Amino acid sequence: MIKYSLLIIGLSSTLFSQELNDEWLNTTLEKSIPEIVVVNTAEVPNQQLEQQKNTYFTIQVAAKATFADAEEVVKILNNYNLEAFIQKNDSNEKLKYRVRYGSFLSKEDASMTAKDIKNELGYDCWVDKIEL
Amino acid sequence: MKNTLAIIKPDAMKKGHLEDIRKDILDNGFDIVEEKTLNLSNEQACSFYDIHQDKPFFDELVEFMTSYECHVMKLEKEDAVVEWRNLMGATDSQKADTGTIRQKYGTDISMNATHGSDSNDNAHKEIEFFFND
Repeated sequence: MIKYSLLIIGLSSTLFSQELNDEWLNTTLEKSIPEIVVVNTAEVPNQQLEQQKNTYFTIQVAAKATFADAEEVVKILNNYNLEAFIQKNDSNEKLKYRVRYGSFLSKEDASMTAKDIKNELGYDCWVDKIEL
Repeated sequence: MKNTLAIIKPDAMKKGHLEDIRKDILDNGFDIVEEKTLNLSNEQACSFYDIHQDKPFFDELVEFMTSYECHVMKLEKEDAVVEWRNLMGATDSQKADTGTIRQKYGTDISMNATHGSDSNDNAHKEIEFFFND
């Protein structure tokens, strides 16, 4: 009995000390937490709230014929801390890879960022509202 | 009237012509005031094409419009309704003039790439239908 109690105490202390020392675990978890947008639900009617959940704005920065060209644009955006993504558009050979950035809740925010990208990098970007 | 409603229909979206058609629109002096990409619901399509409810092609039209995503735009230009209809070309893509959007990206009378309001009154109603917020 004493042997089992000692074993349990030993295991618990090991786990507890690991939890305290595992800074990498905390860092990883913190990094993966998405940005939280606070919405005061009391002020937003239900229908509007439901619509907001299914709608977002994204910026189309460019459309390229090859993946390599699209990747170049992504790299340039990454240098400006903008994590862009590539969307494949199989049917159009000339514009097969769309480079897009962001998913914004407000059109104003998306438009402002699009304007910044245009001014800084010269891409003729536009904002698409996506309704799911 | 300065505004009209344009829709890039599912056939053109499926073929990936969103950017091509946007470019044609901008190159022809239109401003795209508002735009969005959406999958029309059955209810939305029925309501939007309400005027055609008694026509034999209604069910087919609704089925087609809900088959894939659409890109809807509020366009601005002097005499926008007429100008956009000229740029689209004839309803039947096979009869549309060379260089028009329907000739370039459409297939036939039903899969004709784009929609445009047919009058100023309808332009106003259609814009309200899609951009009422």
